[in-house]
Amino acid sequence: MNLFLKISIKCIIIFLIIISVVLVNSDILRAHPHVFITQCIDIIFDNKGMTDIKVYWSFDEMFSSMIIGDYDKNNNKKLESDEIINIKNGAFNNLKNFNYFSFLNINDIKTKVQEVNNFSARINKNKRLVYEFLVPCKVAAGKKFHKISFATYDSTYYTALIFTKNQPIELINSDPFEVKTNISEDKSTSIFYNTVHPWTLFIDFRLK
Amino acid sequence: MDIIYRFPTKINKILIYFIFFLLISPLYINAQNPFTSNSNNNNNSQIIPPKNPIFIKLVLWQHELREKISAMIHDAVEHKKITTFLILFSVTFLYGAIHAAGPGHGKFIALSYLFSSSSNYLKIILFGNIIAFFHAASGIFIVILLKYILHKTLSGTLDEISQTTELISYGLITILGFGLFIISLIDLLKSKKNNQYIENEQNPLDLKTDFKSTIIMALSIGLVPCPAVVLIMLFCLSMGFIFLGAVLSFCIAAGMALTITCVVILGQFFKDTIINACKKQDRAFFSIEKYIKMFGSFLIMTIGSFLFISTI
Repeated sequence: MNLFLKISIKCIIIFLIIISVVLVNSDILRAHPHVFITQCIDIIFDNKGMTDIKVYWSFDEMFSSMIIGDYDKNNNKKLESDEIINIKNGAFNNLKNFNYFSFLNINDIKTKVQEVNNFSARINKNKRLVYEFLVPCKVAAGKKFHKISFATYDSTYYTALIFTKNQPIELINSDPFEVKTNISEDKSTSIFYNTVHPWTLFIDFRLK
Repeated sequence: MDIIYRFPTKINKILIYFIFFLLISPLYINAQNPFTSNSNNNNNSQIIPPKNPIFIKLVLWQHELREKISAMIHDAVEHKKITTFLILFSVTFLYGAIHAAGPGHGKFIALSYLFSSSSNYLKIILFGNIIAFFHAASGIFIVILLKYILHKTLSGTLDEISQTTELISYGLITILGFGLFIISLIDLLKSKKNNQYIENEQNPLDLKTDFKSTIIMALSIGLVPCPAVVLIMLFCLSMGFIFLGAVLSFCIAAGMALTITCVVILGQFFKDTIINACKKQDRAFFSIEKYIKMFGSFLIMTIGSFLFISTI
Protein backbone atom coordinates (compact mmCIF):
# COMPACT_ATOMS: atom_id res chain seq x y z
CA MET A 1 0.00 0.00 0.00
CA ASN A 2 1.40 3.39 -0.89
CA LEU A 3 2.37 5.99 1.65
CA PHE A 4 -0.31 8.45 0.54
CA LEU A 5 -3.07 5.99 1.33
CA LYS A 6 -1.60 5.12 4.72
CA ILE A 7 -1.39 8.78 5.68
CA SER A 8 -4.92 9.43 4.36
CA ILE A 9 -6.40 6.64 6.46
CA LYS A 10 -4.61 7.83 9.58
CA CYS A 11 -5.74 11.42 8.95
CA ILE A 12 -9.35 10.33 8.48
CA ILE A 13 -9.38 8.30 11.66
CA ILE A 14 -7.76 11.09 13.66
CA PHE A 15 -10.20 13.59 12.12
CA LEU A 16 -13.18 11.41 13.05
CA ILE A 17 -11.94 10.95 16.58
CA ILE A 18 -11.21 14.66 17.12
CA ILE A 19 -14.61 15.63 15.72
CA SER A 20 -16.29 13.01 17.88
CA VAL A 21 -14.52 14.11 21.04
CA VAL A 22 -15.25 17.79 20.45
CA LEU A 23 -18.85 17.20 19.53
CA VAL A 24 -19.76 14.68 22.17
CA ASN A 25 -18.48 17.02 24.84
CA SER A 26 -20.26 20.11 23.72
CA ASP A 27 -23.44 21.89 22.85
CA ILE A 28 -22.25 21.80 19.28
CA LEU A 29 -24.56 18.86 18.70
CA ARG A 30 -27.45 21.21 19.18
CA ALA A 31 -28.38 24.17 17.09
CA HIS A 32 -27.44 27.67 18.28
CA PRO A 33 -27.99 30.56 18.67
CA HIS A 34 -31.71 31.19 18.73
CA VAL A 35 -31.94 34.39 20.70
CA PHE A 36 -30.08 37.56 19.75
CA ILE A 37 -29.51 40.37 22.24
CA THR A 38 -28.15 43.78 21.38
CA GLN A 39 -26.81 45.31 24.55
CA CYS A 40 -25.56 48.61 25.91
CA ILE A 41 -24.13 49.36 29.32
CA ASP A 42 -24.08 52.26 31.77
CA ILE A 43 -21.17 52.42 34.20
CA ILE A 44 -22.46 54.11 37.35
CA PHE A 45 -20.30 55.95 39.88
CA ASP A 46 -20.98 57.75 43.15
CA ASN A 47 -18.58 60.11 44.91
CA LYS A 48 -16.43 57.21 46.22
CA GLY A 49 -16.05 55.12 43.09
CA MET A 50 -17.86 52.67 40.93
CA THR A 51 -21.14 51.25 42.26
CA ASP A 52 -23.02 49.39 39.55
CA ILE A 53 -23.10 48.31 35.97
CA LYS A 54 -26.48 48.89 34.38
CA VAL A 55 -27.25 46.48 31.57
CA TYR A 56 -29.78 47.06 28.79
CA TRP A 57 -30.69 44.05 26.67
CA SER A 58 -32.73 44.58 23.55
CA PHE A 59 -34.01 41.27 22.15
CA ASP A 60 -34.53 40.38 18.52
CA GLU A 61 -38.07 40.92 17.30
CA MET A 62 -38.97 37.23 17.05
CA PHE A 63 -37.97 36.31 20.59
CA SER A 64 -39.58 39.58 21.75
CA SER A 65 -42.88 38.61 20.12
CA MET A 66 -42.84 35.24 21.89
CA ILE A 67 -42.29 36.76 25.35
CA ILE A 68 -44.66 39.67 24.71
CA GLY A 69 -47.31 37.24 23.41
CA ASP A 70 -47.03 35.23 26.60
CA TYR A 71 -46.80 38.02 29.17
CA ASP A 72 -48.57 41.12 27.79
CA LYS A 73 -51.92 39.73 28.90
CA ASN A 74 -53.98 42.80 28.02
CA ASN A 75 -52.27 43.11 24.60
CA ASN A 76 -51.74 46.85 25.00
CA LYS A 77 -48.10 46.58 23.87
CA LYS A 78 -46.99 47.97 27.21
CA LEU A 79 -45.73 46.05 30.19
CA GLU A 80 -47.45 46.90 33.47
CA SER A 81 -45.90 46.16 36.86
CA ASP A 82 -47.69 42.81 37.34
CA GLU A 83 -46.64 41.73 33.85
CA ILE A 84 -43.04 42.72 34.59
CA ILE A 85 -43.12 40.60 37.76
CA ASN A 86 -44.40 37.66 35.70
CA ILE A 87 -41.66 38.16 33.13
CA LYS A 88 -39.07 38.32 35.90
CA ASN A 89 -40.34 35.06 37.39
CA GLY A 90 -40.93 33.28 34.10
CA ALA A 91 -38.26 34.54 31.74
CA PHE A 92 -35.46 36.09 33.75
CA ASN A 93 -34.90 34.57 37.20
CA ASN A 94 -33.61 31.31 35.73
CA LEU A 95 -30.65 33.25 34.38
CA LYS A 96 -29.27 33.10 37.91
CA ASN A 97 -28.12 29.60 36.94
CA PHE A 98 -26.16 31.23 34.15
CA ASN A 99 -24.76 34.11 36.26
CA TYR A 100 -27.16 36.40 34.39
CA PHE A 101 -24.75 35.98 31.45
CA SER A 102 -22.51 38.42 33.37
CA PHE A 103 -18.89 37.73 34.29
CA LEU A 104 -16.99 40.24 36.38
CA ASN A 105 -13.30 40.40 36.96
CA ILE A 106 -12.08 43.02 39.46
CA ASN A 107 -8.32 43.59 39.56
CA ASP A 108 -7.74 40.10 38.17
CA ILE A 109 -10.04 38.51 40.73
CA LYS A 110 -13.10 36.76 39.39
CA THR A 111 -16.31 37.87 41.07
CA LYS A 112 -19.33 35.69 40.60
CA VAL A 113 -22.50 37.59 39.74
CA GLN A 114 -25.07 35.95 41.98
CA GLU A 115 -27.64 38.70 42.30
CA VAL A 116 -28.81 41.55 40.14
CA ASN A 117 -31.03 44.44 41.22
CA ASN A 118 -33.77 46.70 39.88
CA PHE A 119 -34.93 44.40 37.11
CA SER A 120 -37.35 46.00 34.71
CA ALA A 121 -38.76 45.17 31.30
CA ARG A 122 -40.40 47.26 28.62
CA ILE A 123 -41.35 47.23 24.97
CA ASN A 124 -39.52 49.87 22.97
CA LYS A 125 -40.77 51.82 19.95
CA ASN A 126 -39.33 49.15 17.61
CA LYS A 127 -41.49 46.49 19.32
CA ARG A 128 -38.44 44.97 20.95
CA LEU A 129 -38.50 43.61 24.45
CA VAL A 130 -35.91 45.39 26.59
CA TYR A 131 -34.59 44.11 29.91
CA GLU A 132 -32.79 46.47 32.30
CA PHE A 133 -30.99 45.48 35.47
CA LEU A 134 -28.14 46.50 37.73
CA VAL A 135 -25.11 44.36 38.35
CA PRO A 136 -23.59 45.46 41.69
CA CYS A 137 -19.91 46.31 41.37
CA LYS A 138 -18.70 48.38 44.32
CA VAL A 139 -15.11 49.45 43.89
CA ALA A 140 -13.75 52.50 45.73
CA ALA A 141 -11.44 54.66 43.63
CA GLY A 142 -7.83 55.28 44.66
CA LYS A 143 -4.72 56.81 43.18
CA LYS A 144 -3.91 53.66 41.26
CA PHE A 145 -5.99 52.40 38.38
CA HIS A 146 -8.52 49.70 39.19
CA LYS A 147 -8.91 47.25 36.35
CA ILE A 148 -12.37 45.80 35.82
CA SER A 149 -13.56 43.59 33.03
CA PHE A 150 -17.20 42.80 32.39
CA ALA A 151 -18.03 40.09 29.91
CA THR A 152 -21.56 39.13 28.95
CA TYR A 153 -22.17 35.84 27.28
CA ASP A 154 -24.29 32.72 27.36
CA SER A 155 -21.85 29.87 27.67
CA THR A 156 -24.35 27.51 26.00
CA TYR A 157 -24.61 29.95 23.08
CA TYR A 158 -28.38 29.57 22.95
CA THR A 159 -28.24 33.34 23.17
CA ALA A 160 -25.84 35.57 21.25
CA LEU A 161 -25.04 38.89 22.94
CA ILE A 162 -23.76 41.67 20.74
CA PHE A 163 -22.80 45.20 21.77
CA THR A 164 -24.82 47.90 20.02
CA LYS A 165 -22.85 49.85 17.40
CA ASN A 166 -23.99 53.28 18.58
CA GLN A 167 -22.90 54.34 22.05
CA PRO A 168 -22.53 50.94 23.67
CA ILE A 169 -21.11 52.51 26.84
CA GLU A 170 -22.22 55.48 28.90
CA LEU A 171 -20.53 56.83 32.03
CA ILE A 172 -22.78 58.15 34.81
CA ASN A 173 -21.41 60.55 37.50
CA SER A 174 -17.86 59.88 36.40
CA ASP A 175 -16.56 63.47 36.64
CA PRO A 176 -14.35 62.97 39.73
CA PHE A 177 -12.60 60.03 38.07
CA GLU A 178 -10.27 59.32 35.21
CA VAL A 179 -12.00 56.50 33.32
CA LYS A 180 -10.81 54.51 30.32
CA THR A 181 -13.15 52.05 28.62
CA ASN A 182 -12.58 49.61 25.82
CA ILE A 183 -14.64 46.85 24.26
CA SER A 184 -12.64 44.02 22.80
CA GLU A 185 -12.38 40.24 22.78
CA ASP A 186 -11.12 38.81 26.03
CA LYS A 187 -8.31 36.57 24.85
CA SER A 188 -7.89 35.02 28.29
CA THR A 189 -11.38 33.53 28.24
CA SER A 190 -13.03 31.21 25.82
CA ILE A 191 -16.57 30.02 25.61
CA PHE A 192 -18.65 27.49 23.75
CA TYR A 193 -15.96 24.89 24.12
CA ASN A 194 -13.02 27.01 23.11
CA THR A 195 -14.41 28.33 19.88
CA VAL A 196 -15.14 31.96 20.79
CA HIS A 197 -13.54 34.74 22.86
CA PRO A 198 -16.34 36.74 24.47
CA TRP A 199 -16.60 40.45 23.75
CA THR A 200 -15.73 42.18 26.99
CA LEU A 201 -15.94 45.66 28.43
CA PHE A 202 -12.64 46.69 30.03
CA ILE A 203 -12.83 49.56 32.53
CA ASP A 204 -9.81 51.27 34.11
CA PHE A 205 -10.50 54.09 36.59
CA ARG A 206 -8.86 56.10 39.35
CA LEU A 207 -9.25 59.44 41.15
CA LYS A 208 -8.38 62.46 39.03
CA MET B 1 -4.01 -15.13 6.99
CA ASP B 2 -4.76 -13.61 10.36
CA ILE B 3 -2.77 -10.55 9.54
CA ILE B 4 -5.26 -9.66 6.81
CA TYR B 5 -7.98 -8.99 9.35
CA ARG B 6 -5.97 -7.49 12.15
CA PHE B 7 -6.96 -3.94 12.90
CA PRO B 8 -3.89 -1.65 12.80
CA THR B 9 -2.46 -1.44 16.33
CA LYS B 10 -2.19 2.35 16.44
CA ILE B 11 -5.80 2.75 15.38
CA ASN B 12 -6.76 0.24 18.01
CA LYS B 13 -4.94 2.27 20.64
CA ILE B 14 -6.61 5.51 19.53
CA LEU B 15 -10.00 3.82 19.73
CA ILE B 16 -9.30 2.66 23.28
CA TYR B 17 -8.27 6.21 24.26
CA PHE B 18 -11.40 7.52 22.60
CA ILE B 19 -13.70 5.13 24.46
CA PHE B 20 -11.93 5.95 27.71
CA PHE B 21 -12.36 9.67 27.03
CA LEU B 22 -16.06 9.19 26.40
CA LEU B 23 -16.46 7.37 29.67
CA ILE B 24 -14.79 10.07 31.73
CA SER B 25 -16.24 13.02 29.83
CA PRO B 26 -18.46 15.42 31.73
CA LEU B 27 -22.06 15.73 30.61
CA TYR B 28 -22.29 19.41 29.90
CA ILE B 29 -24.78 19.30 27.10
CA ASN B 30 -27.71 21.66 27.43
CA ALA B 31 -29.93 23.20 24.80
CA GLN B 32 -32.88 24.46 26.77
CA ASN B 33 -33.82 28.08 26.64
CA PRO B 34 -31.86 29.58 29.55
CA PHE B 35 -34.51 32.28 30.09
CA THR B 36 -37.39 29.95 30.78
CA SER B 37 -36.20 26.43 31.51
CA ASN B 38 -34.96 25.18 34.84
CA SER B 39 -31.65 24.41 33.29
CA ASN B 40 -28.25 25.15 34.67
CA ASN B 41 -25.05 25.40 32.77
CA ASN B 42 -21.72 27.09 33.01
CA ASN B 43 -18.99 25.63 30.90
CA ASN B 44 -16.68 28.47 30.08
CA SER B 45 -13.10 27.49 29.94
CA GLN B 46 -9.93 29.37 30.63
CA ILE B 47 -7.93 27.65 27.91
CA ILE B 48 -6.75 30.14 25.35
CA PRO B 49 -8.16 28.91 22.06
CA PRO B 50 -7.55 29.76 18.46
CA LYS B 51 -10.03 32.21 17.02
CA ASN B 52 -12.95 30.82 15.14
CA PRO B 53 -13.91 33.54 12.66
CA ILE B 54 -16.21 31.27 10.64
CA PHE B 55 -18.31 30.45 13.66
CA ILE B 56 -18.57 34.12 14.65
CA LYS B 57 -19.44 35.09 11.06
CA LEU B 58 -22.21 32.49 11.00
CA VAL B 59 -23.68 33.97 14.17
CA LEU B 60 -23.51 37.54 12.86
CA TRP B 61 -25.02 36.58 9.51
CA GLN B 62 -27.85 34.82 11.27
CA HIS B 63 -28.46 37.90 13.39
CA GLU B 64 -28.55 40.16 10.32
CA LEU B 65 -30.80 37.79 8.39
CA ARG B 66 -33.20 37.44 11.31
CA GLU B 67 -33.45 41.23 11.53
CA LYS B 68 -34.05 41.43 7.77
CA ILE B 69 -36.68 38.68 7.86
CA SER B 70 -38.70 40.34 10.62
CA ALA B 71 -38.54 43.72 8.82
CA MET B 72 -39.50 42.10 5.51
CA ILE B 73 -42.43 40.25 7.06
CA HIS B 74 -43.84 43.61 8.20
CA ASP B 75 -43.19 45.04 4.76
CA ALA B 76 -44.69 42.10 2.88
CA VAL B 77 -47.80 42.00 5.02
CA GLU B 78 -48.29 45.75 4.69
CA HIS B 79 -47.70 46.17 0.93
CA LYS B 80 -48.65 42.68 -0.26
CA LYS B 81 -46.30 42.80 -3.26
CA ILE B 82 -45.30 39.54 -4.90
CA THR B 83 -41.67 40.64 -5.30
CA THR B 84 -41.42 41.42 -1.57
CA PHE B 85 -42.76 37.97 -0.76
CA LEU B 86 -40.35 36.32 -3.17
CA ILE B 87 -37.38 38.17 -1.68
CA LEU B 88 -38.65 37.28 1.80
CA PHE B 89 -38.83 33.59 0.88
CA SER B 90 -35.33 33.71 -0.61
CA VAL B 91 -33.84 35.42 2.44
CA THR B 92 -35.60 32.92 4.73
CA PHE B 93 -34.22 30.05 2.63
CA LEU B 94 -30.73 31.54 2.98
CA TYR B 95 -31.26 31.89 6.74
CA GLY B 96 -32.23 28.20 6.93
CA ALA B 97 -29.11 27.20 5.01
CA ILE B 98 -26.79 29.30 7.22
CA HIS B 99 -28.63 28.28 10.40
CA ALA B 100 -28.07 24.60 9.60
CA ALA B 101 -24.42 25.28 8.72
CA GLY B 102 -23.82 26.16 12.36
CA PRO B 103 -23.85 23.69 15.22
CA GLY B 104 -26.64 21.15 15.53
CA HIS B 105 -29.45 19.94 13.29
CA GLY B 106 -28.27 16.35 13.48
CA LYS B 107 -25.50 16.71 10.91
CA PHE B 108 -23.02 14.78 12.98
CA ILE B 109 -25.42 11.97 13.81
CA ALA B 110 -26.43 11.91 10.13
CA LEU B 111 -22.77 11.56 9.13
CA SER B 112 -22.23 8.83 11.69
CA TYR B 113 -25.26 7.05 10.29
CA LEU B 114 -23.77 7.30 6.82
CA PHE B 115 -20.59 5.66 8.05
CA SER B 116 -22.62 2.94 9.73
CA SER B 117 -24.69 1.89 6.73
CA SER B 118 -24.47 1.06 3.05
CA SER B 119 -25.75 4.14 1.26
CA ASN B 120 -26.31 5.42 -2.21
CA TYR B 121 -26.63 9.08 -3.14
CA LEU B 122 -30.40 8.94 -3.66
CA LYS B 123 -30.85 7.51 -0.19
CA ILE B 124 -28.71 10.13 1.48
CA ILE B 125 -30.42 13.01 -0.34
CA LEU B 126 -33.72 11.64 0.91
CA PHE B 127 -32.17 11.22 4.37
CA GLY B 128 -31.01 14.88 4.56
CA ASN B 129 -34.35 16.18 3.34
CA ILE B 130 -36.43 14.10 5.74
CA ILE B 131 -34.34 15.36 8.69
CA ALA B 132 -34.78 19.02 7.69
CA PHE B 133 -38.46 18.92 6.81
CA PHE B 134 -39.46 16.81 9.79
CA HIS B 135 -37.42 19.14 12.04
CA ALA B 136 -39.49 22.07 10.70
CA ALA B 137 -42.81 20.21 10.64
CA SER B 138 -42.30 19.30 14.28
CA GLY B 139 -41.87 23.02 15.11
CA ILE B 140 -45.04 24.00 13.20
CA PHE B 141 -47.03 21.21 14.84
CA ILE B 142 -45.95 22.19 18.35
CA VAL B 143 -46.81 25.86 17.84
CA ILE B 144 -50.28 25.01 16.52
CA LEU B 145 -50.81 22.46 19.30
CA LEU B 146 -49.85 24.87 22.07
CA LYS B 147 -51.47 27.98 20.69
CA TYR B 148 -54.73 26.67 19.23
CA ILE B 149 -55.46 23.38 20.95
CA LEU B 150 -53.95 23.59 24.42
CA HIS B 151 -54.08 27.42 24.66
CA LYS B 152 -50.89 27.47 26.71
CA THR B 153 -48.13 30.03 27.11
CA LEU B 154 -45.37 29.14 24.72
CA SER B 155 -42.11 30.18 26.33
CA GLY B 156 -42.33 27.77 29.27
CA THR B 157 -44.38 24.95 27.77
CA LEU B 158 -42.22 24.81 24.68
CA ASP B 159 -39.24 23.82 26.81
CA GLU B 160 -41.19 21.03 28.48
CA ILE B 161 -42.39 19.68 25.13
CA SER B 162 -38.95 20.08 23.56
CA GLN B 163 -37.47 18.09 26.42
CA THR B 164 -39.97 15.27 25.90
CA THR B 165 -39.35 15.15 22.14
CA GLU B 166 -35.59 15.25 22.78
CA LEU B 167 -35.89 12.27 25.13
CA ILE B 168 -37.86 10.29 22.54
CA SER B 169 -35.50 11.33 19.75
CA TYR B 170 -32.26 10.54 21.57
CA GLY B 171 -33.72 7.31 22.96
CA LEU B 172 -34.59 6.15 19.45
CA ILE B 173 -31.17 7.20 18.13
CA THR B 174 -29.46 5.21 20.90
CA ILE B 175 -31.57 2.11 20.24
CA LEU B 176 -30.99 2.36 16.48
CA GLY B 177 -27.28 2.94 17.05
CA PHE B 178 -27.12 -0.10 19.30
CA GLY B 179 -28.94 -2.20 16.71
CA LEU B 180 -26.61 -1.04 13.93
CA PHE B 181 -23.59 -1.69 16.12
CA ILE B 182 -24.67 -5.27 16.81
CA ILE B 183 -25.44 -5.87 13.11
CA SER B 184 -22.09 -4.44 11.99
CA LEU B 185 -20.25 -6.44 14.65
CA ILE B 186 -21.94 -9.70 13.59
CA ASP B 187 -21.23 -8.85 9.95
CA LEU B 188 -17.56 -8.28 10.71
CA LEU B 189 -17.21 -11.45 12.76
CA LYS B 190 -18.97 -13.49 10.06
CA SER B 191 -16.68 -12.20 7.34
CA LYS B 192 -13.68 -12.92 9.54
CA LYS B 193 -14.90 -16.44 10.23
CA ASN B 194 -15.66 -17.18 6.59
CA ASN B 195 -12.45 -15.60 5.31
CA GLN B 196 -14.65 -13.45 3.12
CA TYR B 197 -12.95 -10.74 1.09
CA ILE B 198 -15.65 -10.04 -1.47
CA GLU B 199 -18.85 -8.51 -0.28
CA ASN B 200 -22.04 -10.24 -1.25
CA GLU B 201 -24.73 -8.33 -3.13
CA GLN B 202 -27.37 -7.13 -0.74
CA ASN B 203 -30.59 -9.02 -1.19
CA PRO B 204 -33.83 -7.01 -1.80
CA LEU B 205 -35.13 -7.80 1.71
CA ASP B 206 -31.98 -6.31 3.27
CA LEU B 207 -32.32 -3.20 1.11
CA LYS B 208 -35.94 -2.79 2.22
CA THR B 209 -34.97 -3.13 5.90
CA ASP B 210 -32.08 -0.71 5.37
CA PHE B 211 -34.42 1.81 3.75
CA LYS B 212 -36.84 1.53 6.67
CA SER B 213 -34.06 2.05 9.22
CA THR B 214 -32.90 5.10 7.23
CA ILE B 215 -36.38 6.64 7.40
CA ILE B 216 -36.68 5.86 11.13
CA MET B 217 -33.24 7.35 11.81
CA ALA B 218 -34.05 10.51 9.83
CA LEU B 219 -37.37 10.92 11.63
CA SER B 220 -35.70 10.36 15.00
CA ILE B 221 -33.12 13.07 14.29
CA GLY B 222 -35.71 15.50 12.95
CA LEU B 223 -38.22 14.89 15.72
CA VAL B 224 -36.91 17.68 17.96
CA PRO B 225 -38.69 20.91 16.94
CA CYS B 226 -36.52 23.55 15.35
CA PRO B 227 -36.54 26.66 17.61
CA ALA B 228 -35.93 28.89 14.58
CA VAL B 229 -39.14 27.58 13.00
CA VAL B 230 -41.01 27.97 16.28
CA LEU B 231 -39.94 31.62 16.58
CA ILE B 232 -40.81 32.49 12.99
CA MET B 233 -44.18 30.76 13.31
CA LEU B 234 -44.94 32.64 16.51
CA PHE B 235 -43.87 35.92 14.98
CA CYS B 236 -46.25 35.43 12.03
CA LEU B 237 -48.99 34.23 14.37
CA SER B 238 -48.63 37.38 16.47
CA MET B 239 -49.61 39.28 13.32
CA GLY B 240 -52.36 36.80 12.45
CA PHE B 241 -50.63 35.24 9.43
CA ILE B 242 -50.37 31.54 10.21
CA PHE B 243 -50.16 30.49 6.55
CA LEU B 244 -47.24 32.86 5.94
CA GLY B 245 -45.56 31.36 9.03
CA ALA B 246 -45.98 27.85 7.58
CA VAL B 247 -44.59 28.92 4.18
CA LEU B 248 -41.59 30.61 5.81
CA SER B 249 -41.02 27.52 7.94
CA PHE B 250 -41.00 25.50 4.71
CA CYS B 251 -38.40 27.94 3.30
CA ILE B 252 -36.22 27.49 6.42
CA ALA B 253 -36.60 23.72 6.09
CA ALA B 254 -35.59 23.85 2.40
CA GLY B 255 -32.49 25.88 3.33
CA MET B 256 -31.62 23.46 6.13
CA ALA B 257 -32.20 20.51 3.78
CA LEU B 258 -29.74 21.97 1.30
CA THR B 259 -27.00 22.29 3.92
CA ILE B 260 -27.63 18.94 5.61
CA THR B 261 -27.79 17.19 2.24
CA CYS B 262 -24.53 18.84 1.10
CA VAL B 263 -22.83 17.69 4.30
CA VAL B 264 -24.03 14.09 3.99
CA ILE B 265 -23.17 13.95 0.26
CA LEU B 266 -19.67 15.17 1.05
CA GLY B 267 -19.44 12.58 3.81
CA GLN B 268 -20.58 9.84 1.44
CA PHE B 269 -18.14 10.95 -1.26
CA PHE B 270 -15.37 10.95 1.31
CA LYS B 271 -16.31 7.47 2.51
CA ASP B 272 -16.65 6.01 -1.00
CA THR B 273 -13.31 7.44 -2.11
CA ILE B 274 -11.46 5.98 0.83
CA ILE B 275 -13.12 2.58 0.70
CA ASN B 276 -12.53 2.24 -3.05
CA ALA B 277 -8.93 3.37 -2.73
CA CYS B 278 -8.32 0.92 0.10
CA LYS B 279 -9.89 -1.98 -1.77
CA LYS B 280 -7.78 -1.31 -4.84
CA GLN B 281 -4.57 -1.02 -2.87
CA ASP B 282 -4.47 -3.84 -0.45
CA ARG B 283 -6.56 -6.86 0.48
CA ALA B 284 -5.71 -6.16 4.10
CA PHE B 285 -8.01 -3.17 3.96
CA PHE B 286 -10.82 -4.96 2.18
CA SER B 287 -12.84 -5.08 5.38
CA ILE B 288 -12.30 -1.39 6.19
CA GLU B 289 -15.91 -0.65 5.24
CA LYS B 290 -17.04 -3.01 7.97
CA TYR B 291 -14.83 -1.27 10.52
CA ILE B 292 -16.14 2.13 9.40
CA LYS B 293 -19.70 0.84 9.76
CA MET B 294 -18.96 -0.41 13.23
CA PHE B 295 -17.29 2.85 14.22
CA GLY B 296 -20.20 4.89 12.81
CA SER B 297 -22.82 2.86 14.66
CA PHE B 298 -20.75 3.05 17.85
CA LEU B 299 -20.73 6.86 17.52
CA ILE B 300 -24.50 6.97 17.01
CA MET B 301 -25.06 4.82 20.06
CA THR B 302 -22.66 6.87 22.20
CA ILE B 303 -23.89 10.29 21.12
CA GLY B 304 -27.51 9.21 21.43
CA SER B 305 -26.98 7.95 24.96
CA PHE B 306 -24.98 11.04 25.98
CA LEU B 307 -27.70 13.34 24.72
CA PHE B 308 -30.40 11.18 26.30
CA ILE B 309 -28.73 11.22 29.72
CA SER B 310 -28.09 14.97 29.55
CA THR B 311 -31.74 15.65 28.72
CA ILE B 312 -33.19 13.68 31.67
